[in-house]
Amino acid sequence: MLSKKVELWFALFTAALSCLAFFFWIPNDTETGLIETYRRQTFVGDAFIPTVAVGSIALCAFVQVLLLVFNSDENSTSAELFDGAAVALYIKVSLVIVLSLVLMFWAGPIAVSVFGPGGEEPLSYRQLRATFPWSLIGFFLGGICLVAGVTRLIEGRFIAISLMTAVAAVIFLIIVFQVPFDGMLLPPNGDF
Amino acid sequence: MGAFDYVWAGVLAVFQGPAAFSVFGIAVSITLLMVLFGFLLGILVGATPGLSGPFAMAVSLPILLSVFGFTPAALLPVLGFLVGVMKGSTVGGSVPAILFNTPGTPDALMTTLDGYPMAQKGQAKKALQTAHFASACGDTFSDLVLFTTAPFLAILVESYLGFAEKAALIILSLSFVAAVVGASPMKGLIAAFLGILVASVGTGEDSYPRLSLETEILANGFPLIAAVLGVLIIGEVFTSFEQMWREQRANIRREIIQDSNDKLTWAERRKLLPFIGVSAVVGTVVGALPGIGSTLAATLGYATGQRMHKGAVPFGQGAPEGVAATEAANSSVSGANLIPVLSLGIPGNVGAVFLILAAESIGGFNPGPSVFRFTVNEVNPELVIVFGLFTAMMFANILNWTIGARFMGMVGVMSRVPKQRLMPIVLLLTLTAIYVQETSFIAVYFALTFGVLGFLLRKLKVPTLPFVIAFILAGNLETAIRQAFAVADADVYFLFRSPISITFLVLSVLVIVFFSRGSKKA
Repeated sequence: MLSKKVELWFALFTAALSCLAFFFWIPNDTETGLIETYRRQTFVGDAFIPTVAVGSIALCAFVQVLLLVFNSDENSTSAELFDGAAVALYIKVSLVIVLSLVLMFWAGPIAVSVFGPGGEEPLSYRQLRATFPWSLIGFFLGGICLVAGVTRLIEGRFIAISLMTAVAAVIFLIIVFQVPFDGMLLPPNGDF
Repeated sequence: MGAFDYVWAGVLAVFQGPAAFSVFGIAVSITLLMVLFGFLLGILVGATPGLSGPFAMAVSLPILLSVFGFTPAALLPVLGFLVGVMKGSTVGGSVPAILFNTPGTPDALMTTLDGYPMAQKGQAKKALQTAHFASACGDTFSDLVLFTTAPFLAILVESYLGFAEKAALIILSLSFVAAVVGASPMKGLIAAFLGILVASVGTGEDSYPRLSLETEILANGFPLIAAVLGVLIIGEVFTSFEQMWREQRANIRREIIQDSNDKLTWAERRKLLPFIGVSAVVGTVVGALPGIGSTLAATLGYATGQRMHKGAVPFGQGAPEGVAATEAANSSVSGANLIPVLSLGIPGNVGAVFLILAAESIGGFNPGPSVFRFTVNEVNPELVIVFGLFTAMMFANILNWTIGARFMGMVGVMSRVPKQRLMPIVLLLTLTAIYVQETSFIAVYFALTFGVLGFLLRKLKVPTLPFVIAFILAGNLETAIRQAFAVADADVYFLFRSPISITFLVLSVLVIVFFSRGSKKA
């Protein structure tokens, strides 16, 4: 169990969010209500299941608040959800993931536009997305950035073996997914 | 076709199905080959701390679908492979638990209590053989219970349950999963209802895709594979980042123990049988109930074995009976937890989730009571698939008995793979697996978003399994409710019109109340 304060805040936050969904989101974002009658036929509307779901979430959160208020806190701990160092770690991990995905998505098209086959009508990335090496540039660079970057953050230092592991892992994935299957598109080739 | 004809057709579908290759003119069935690959991969993955059977099932699925396509002929090879992984990983999880005091899978935690002390006494080989023997016994027993129970349960369900009763049964199953997984039933329920809410986005029967915020991106709802893999795998990977980072800072190192040549004799195996038998029954009963995983089965099996034990070496100090009791219990879960899947269409654990995901992706096989229709005049292809699946499971058991122990001894090296280098690769592998199936970066964004959700749920000690099972069952629940309402002539009390339905709903409430009291005392 978490600390009683965290448990209480979680339950209250959940109850508040579900009330918002119950009163504002679901009524305004569904075409039919809970029960509808059309041409003398009565049927369950599209709002029924989500309304029951958020109503039940609110009820459970409310019961959880009551259980927390009226029960002794013998099981609660003083452990907090995050400390500053963990938050910093996750911010850095998020940045590495975002950077890796940007690299994965754009490295191929940029490489094609800079180094791609020229001529009167230069080929686009879409035309080359199934052609080696263009098809693999984004996945290769983005994959290495993701694996090596996150490993570096966890280990707290950069060592050559981490980079070599990342390169080997990405090559392994290319062999597994791309080499045996012509029709399988590695990221980001399906988006072009 | 009679019942025996269906069983035989299932056996033939496995042994005489599409051939992978021929050896001396004898065709080798692709299904058998896939079960073998799955089983070996399962042991390998189970022996690697940080990886698990469901993870291997998750990332294999897109590759399998690409190889075998979306035709009914793909069902047996794909399901056979996944079943092989499920069985292999349970056996493999005991390897690092015994050799390095590190459970390869969560359900092998109790194996460390006696397995590791045995290894420290120089009895590592005997401990591994004990774990394998108990595991194979438990697994085989559980499968036999599945084969004999599931058809009868399904026929009962199909005969007596209408739409309202089926809706009530899904509610009961979700309540049960929510109540027993995790420390707080209320949090489990919140997770389950959240799963239903998220599954509602972009679906429904109106022309406007509900809850889509009038956006294109939400209009088609969330891809099933992105949601399931995001919450279960990526969420777990994100959680492990912090753990590994803290371990690195604390400079925690694992000890490595030397091997020995001490063998498990047949007389010793005979002495273990009472412990294995009792634990197999405990594991099978626990496995048949949705939501109660193999970890609890292992704990109960160990506790029961401890009460029975009167030997010289006490439990916890290297008793082979402790290893046997634990491994028989956790292995007997894997067959039994297919009972609710095949007879009710309700996945009881993460492994079963991926079997349903595979069946839904391929099509032509909808696990549930309707599968067990023994039609006489025309062939029910789904029933042939079920008996084919049973045959594949028995083949996996034969593999376990014959080559399982030998392969277990070879994969001990996997325990030394550094987790901090493995988990980022797992992240990339999971994202790649999702992308190749959905071929859109949007699916990757969804998967990462669900990964963050899974991470936050874990941080807040909210169980993720009820979310995933509710997400998968939400469509069935809504359909059953709509049909029950229509059949009841728009009676608002449509769920309370039959005694069976009322019983299920009352049980749902009682389960929550009972386990809430338990958690209060704990």
